[in-house]
Amino acid sequence: MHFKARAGQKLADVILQDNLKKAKSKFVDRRATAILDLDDFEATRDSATALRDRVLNDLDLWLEKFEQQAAKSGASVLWARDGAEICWLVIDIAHRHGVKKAIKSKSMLSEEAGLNQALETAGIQPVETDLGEYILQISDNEPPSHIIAPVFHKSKEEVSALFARTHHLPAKDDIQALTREAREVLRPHFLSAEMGISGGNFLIAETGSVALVTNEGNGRMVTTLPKVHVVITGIEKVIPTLEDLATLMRLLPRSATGQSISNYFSLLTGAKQAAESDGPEHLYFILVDNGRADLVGGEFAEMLRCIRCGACMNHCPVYQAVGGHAYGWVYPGPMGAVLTPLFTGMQNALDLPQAATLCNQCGVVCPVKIPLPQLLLKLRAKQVEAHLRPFGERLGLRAWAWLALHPALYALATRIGVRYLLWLARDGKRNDRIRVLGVAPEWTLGRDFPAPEGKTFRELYAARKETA
Amino acid sequence: MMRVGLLVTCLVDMMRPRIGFAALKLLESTGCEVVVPQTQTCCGQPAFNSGDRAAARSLAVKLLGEFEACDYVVAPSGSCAGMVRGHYVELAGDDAALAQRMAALAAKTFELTDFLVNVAKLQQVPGEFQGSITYHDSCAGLRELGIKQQPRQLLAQMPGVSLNEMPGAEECCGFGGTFSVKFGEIAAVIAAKKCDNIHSAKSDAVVGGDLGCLLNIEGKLRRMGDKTTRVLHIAEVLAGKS
Amino acid sequence: MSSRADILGRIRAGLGRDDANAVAGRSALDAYLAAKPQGPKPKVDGDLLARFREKSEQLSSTVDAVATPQEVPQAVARYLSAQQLPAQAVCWPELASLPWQQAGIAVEARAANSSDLLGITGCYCALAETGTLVLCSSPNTPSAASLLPETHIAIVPAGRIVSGMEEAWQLIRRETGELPRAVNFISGPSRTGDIEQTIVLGAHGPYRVHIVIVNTEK
Repeated sequence: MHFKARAGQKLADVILQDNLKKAKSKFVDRRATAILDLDDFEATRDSATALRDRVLNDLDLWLEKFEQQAAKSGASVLWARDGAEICWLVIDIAHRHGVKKAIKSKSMLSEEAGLNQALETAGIQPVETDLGEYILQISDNEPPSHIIAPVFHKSKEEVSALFARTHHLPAKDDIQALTREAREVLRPHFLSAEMGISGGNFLIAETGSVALVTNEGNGRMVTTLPKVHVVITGIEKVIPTLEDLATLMRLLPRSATGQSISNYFSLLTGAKQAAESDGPEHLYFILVDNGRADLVGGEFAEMLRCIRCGACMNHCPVYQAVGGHAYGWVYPGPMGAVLTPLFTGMQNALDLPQAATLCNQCGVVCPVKIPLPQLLLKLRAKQVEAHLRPFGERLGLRAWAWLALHPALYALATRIGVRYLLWLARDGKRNDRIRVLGVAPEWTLGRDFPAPEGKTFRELYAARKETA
Repeated sequence: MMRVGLLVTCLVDMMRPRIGFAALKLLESTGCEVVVPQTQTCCGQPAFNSGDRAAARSLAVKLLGEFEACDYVVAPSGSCAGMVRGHYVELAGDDAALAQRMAALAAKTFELTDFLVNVAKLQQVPGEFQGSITYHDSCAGLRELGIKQQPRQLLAQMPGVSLNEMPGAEECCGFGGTFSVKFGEIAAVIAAKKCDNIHSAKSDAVVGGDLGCLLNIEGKLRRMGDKTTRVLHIAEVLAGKS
Repeated sequence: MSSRADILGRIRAGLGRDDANAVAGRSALDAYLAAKPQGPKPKVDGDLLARFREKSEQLSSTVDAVATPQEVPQAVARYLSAQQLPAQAVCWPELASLPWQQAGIAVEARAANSSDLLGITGCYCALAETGTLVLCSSPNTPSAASLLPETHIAIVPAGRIVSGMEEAWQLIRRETGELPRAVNFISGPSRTGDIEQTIVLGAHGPYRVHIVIVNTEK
């Protein structure tokens, strides 16, 4: 199913539409307030953009440096080409350490790989511990609809019903009680799992560390309690120094949730020391390509700056109208509309680059200044070059462009065109709008099409010149 | 005397010639010589936004030939002016000489209110308007060209106008060019939110600087049953009745 | 071909990497790592302690202050009785010598477990910019004490409050050389906004964070 068909379903989903309305402005308003306490938000954005570009322009060297430093700290660094290889590596590590249960902190790479299903098939129980991800897991492994608020699309009533059904406990009607119930259900899993799986917000080349940002504290649990910790992260997540981390940490929580800092932010380096009472005995990094390496140095390289804050979708009018599931893969909103065709193949996501008004509300809030509308435009151009657009659309565009290059014919065609439109608008009274427009039926599904004045500017101007 | 080329825009040419004449009147009131190349059609943005760069390039070259001799190019549209300013150089590709000419054209191309305020430094707005207005900031004008204060500064010179800002004035109305016909249902939902915001500003008219947005907004208002809120281009308000 | 060689090979192809520019690239990289340039920082000057207090409270932590370490147990006892919490805690081994018993609190210096209701920790340093506690893991300062219990009490020497994260890194580099296994930045009680973007305190970590500042120098 394509974006458009899915979007149509989402528009017709009354509960979803209600949930989206409620959720929207909270992120937007909080972010707007949070950026004010940086003396120079724009300078911080510029600095972050430059440091992300610095890494991407020498990504091979920074990855080598990270690998070297991580190995020095006692961690193992593994590489995965794609989702299948991620699953294979994680299962192999699990088998080596006799793992029966893996607790997971939110990882989008795990979503890219479909890791939960693979673990289950291998006889390892995956338990999502981010509240949102947990809700999705018990909701029949539903995919997330937002990269930082995975259950953006669900109401508390839906969560309440789901908890009552899954936990066999009396239904609770407030969010506080629901959160407490999840805490109590998940705590035993934290204590019994042999493996923790997390994503990584940043990899620090200087020290071979991973930086992990969470609010709930589940990220700390996952990386403190089990004897094995596996970090799964994209190769583009490396940054040079701890100073660079400080710069990015001023932007990430503010852009994501409008917090000046997230509740928990851990910098993890190596495995535990002999005398320590907690911390994993084994630390693994899985550095994932899955479509990223081929973007390096190319015309879409700017997309690799992305720090996964979600601000673009929070500010996107299309995302706000249809929600994340309409985008059909792991990443929704503007960043997803760019990443999905690049990672999964252009022909598999033809609608996505088209499904944007190019309003650039995403571009102006992006903390690392990714020109999202420009990248969408480039993808549209690629579709045309690869002859992936529908024949009718290509023909229409070509015919119109040819006409626009021939002013005399164009003048005639528009003269006739506006008269036809005016004729369509006749209703005996106001004659000011068209209710059903045959040449653009989509327009009049939910809007009228205002009637033209009846003559073109060109005609009227020529007439005026004559009389002058 | 400054020679200003009026880029009428294809939408104004077809749908609302009166906006073109209002722009003409405003430019003439600044004492400029205004030329209106008769062969002009479209800036190529629909082709560009649809990914057909070859077609967009031919139209860009055509427009360049028509307007290159002017001291300034002015369009009553942030979107079309933004196309020339923001993307024409890119369309020149490897042709360095063409790129240079495109860059020169881009540098002298302005959105109407931007030109009136920052180049022509218009002292007296010629038109009259009585009533309350809420202003919709079109995306391209606002975020590509920084058009925010210019129309408000001009409206502030009009004694009959009271401006009521709507919530979310800077949010997209859902037009998005071809988006509005390719994804009509989504566009209509986004437009409905914009119309709710317009209604909350309780004004006689909603005014903007881009006809595409205005057609989208007017179409949604009328479909919602609002037959009274006027939908006007900023040029119409500033020029008054011609 | 190994995945590593394949991935790095494609990155190198995209970047036009050759032996010559790799040498130049590596020396530029090392120069950057040595220079550690800082990005723009918000101005955090003047009274770091006051700013730390204000920001901590904004993050829903509660803050108390005492003059000497010896007075900490009394302050903790005051907090526990005001909150009607049991006077029983687990603490970092390095804090075992404080006069807990005199204040009527039963404190055990050991690794925290899930039945502990109160964890008492020190901190490595604290950030005035955001009201954040910085805890470094070690055998004497285990991570779980600030994570598993429902209430976390942190002792912050006023002299350890630095302006921002950059200063914390500098301090760690200067004092300990190597990074500890875990550097945990804690900014208030654990929270979630996952259901309807409504903020709820006490997700998986503590419901309450209470900070006792020790003004030894003054």
